[in-house]
Amino acid sequence: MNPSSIPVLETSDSLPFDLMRVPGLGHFFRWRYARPVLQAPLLVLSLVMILHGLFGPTLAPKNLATTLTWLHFRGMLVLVLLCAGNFFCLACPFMLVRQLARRFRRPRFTWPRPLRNKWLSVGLFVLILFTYELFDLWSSPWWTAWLIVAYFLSVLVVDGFFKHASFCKFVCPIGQFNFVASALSPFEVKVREQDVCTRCRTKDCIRGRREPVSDLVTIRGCELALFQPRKIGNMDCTFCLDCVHACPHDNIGILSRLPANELMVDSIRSGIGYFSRRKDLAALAIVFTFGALLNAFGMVSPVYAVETWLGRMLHVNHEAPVLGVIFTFFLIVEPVLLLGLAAWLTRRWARSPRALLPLVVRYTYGLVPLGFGMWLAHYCFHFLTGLYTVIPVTQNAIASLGRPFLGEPHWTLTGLPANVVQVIEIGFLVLGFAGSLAVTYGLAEDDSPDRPLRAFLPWAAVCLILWFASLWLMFQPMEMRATLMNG
Amino acid sequence: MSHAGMNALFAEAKETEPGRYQAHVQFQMAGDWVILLHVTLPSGERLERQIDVKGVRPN
Repeated sequence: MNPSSIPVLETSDSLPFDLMRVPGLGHFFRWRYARPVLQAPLLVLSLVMILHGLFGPTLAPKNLATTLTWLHFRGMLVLVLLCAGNFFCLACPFMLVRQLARRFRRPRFTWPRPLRNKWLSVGLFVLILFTYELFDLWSSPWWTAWLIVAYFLSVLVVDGFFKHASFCKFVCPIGQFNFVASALSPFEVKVREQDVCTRCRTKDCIRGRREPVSDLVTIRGCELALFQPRKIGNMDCTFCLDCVHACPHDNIGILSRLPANELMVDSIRSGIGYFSRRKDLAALAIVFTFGALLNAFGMVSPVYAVETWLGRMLHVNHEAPVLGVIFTFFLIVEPVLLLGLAAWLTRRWARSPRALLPLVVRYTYGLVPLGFGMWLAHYCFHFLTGLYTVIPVTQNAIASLGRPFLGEPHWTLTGLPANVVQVIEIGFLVLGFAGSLAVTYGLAEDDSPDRPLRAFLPWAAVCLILWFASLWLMFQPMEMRATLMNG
Repeated sequence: MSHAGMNALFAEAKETEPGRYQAHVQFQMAGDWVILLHVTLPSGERLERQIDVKGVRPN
């Protein structure tokens, strides 16, 4: 990496803003029980959603499971990632249940070496996107409730057998989404002064603190194998703050930084290695980016015409094989063609010394801002246009218990007007496009210092194609159908 | 719509002849719609009925 191409964030004159220095907030985050206090309300909410999903109204807009999961959780998740950082992983209710379970059963195994990568979680990420379309999860409170139950069970099984945070690091699809998206976040858990870490002999941030006599761990070190002094960026960081609690020098903060800058840096990262050598991480970035378009494609009218046409071509009347073809096209064929061609052109024009696949891996991270822009536009559309729907749905849920102390449901409460939200959506897409151009240019400068523009142009073209596709999708007539064909 | 949070439409049904009520709604997008009827009977009893309108096509 050419150091001159990395924007300098920290100088002695401009120290980054530290959330841990905010009065009250820093005190709270340093408190040992900060995480459980944040997790507990979400755990209660999850249980309410499961119960309402299984036993409440079968109509999705009247059920807390579907309304909270597909509108409010997803919308708030992407907005918090954009405006702050991976704070949803900090407040993850699944981890609270895991902690409680580990009081009774300690895990004995280490996560299998062949699975210490993102391939499994990439597969699960695709599987969730696939089942979302196949079972129309957004219209089914019952399926949504079972998805939450399945998540709890998976956490208990995986982290019941395997030590550390195996589920978060190697399995959790939501976590992987958060890890990738948090590359665009303005905050990062990071050491304040490297010198302090250099002098530190105990390395409690990774080892944890132990009782002197019994050697029992009293405060955990990082369960995701991120050694703070060598940690770069938010990848694999759940913001659990274990390192903050373990550091005996109070040298870890939640520091401001330039969003997306970490995508341009290719130094060795603790617990991760080099981005440019991680094909599994690049695959995750591809699913994140192209999956954003695919997920949005599933809610516009043309998808039904495509599915009907494919059904006729394949002589099938079930949705699964048709969806399989669409997923293969969006997540394999399209990326291979676009990224392969861009990498080939980069080699030809800029005479990049890298081989084709390493070039694809390197530049794929540049598409993450575009993908995040699309996720933001999509999820915020549902969140903002249905912002207030949680009120009548909650009123209705309480009224159904026979005690309508919140009053009769105000079904007229919906959300912001669609035309207002559309402007916000365009803003997100522009932001994502600009971010991707900036990152790919930074990568081009680093990769081909003599011919950065030649290296950049093919990737700028890919960004432009994806951006136009995003805009086209956004202006398509929406069509939400819970059933298709005979499926 | 069958998707949580999608825009809801509201209309009040007017009695056009004894026992016959009519309301006008214009579906704003294609897809699966659900009509929820909230009825208050002369006795004060309240009823709710659901009518599924699947596969509304764009104009």
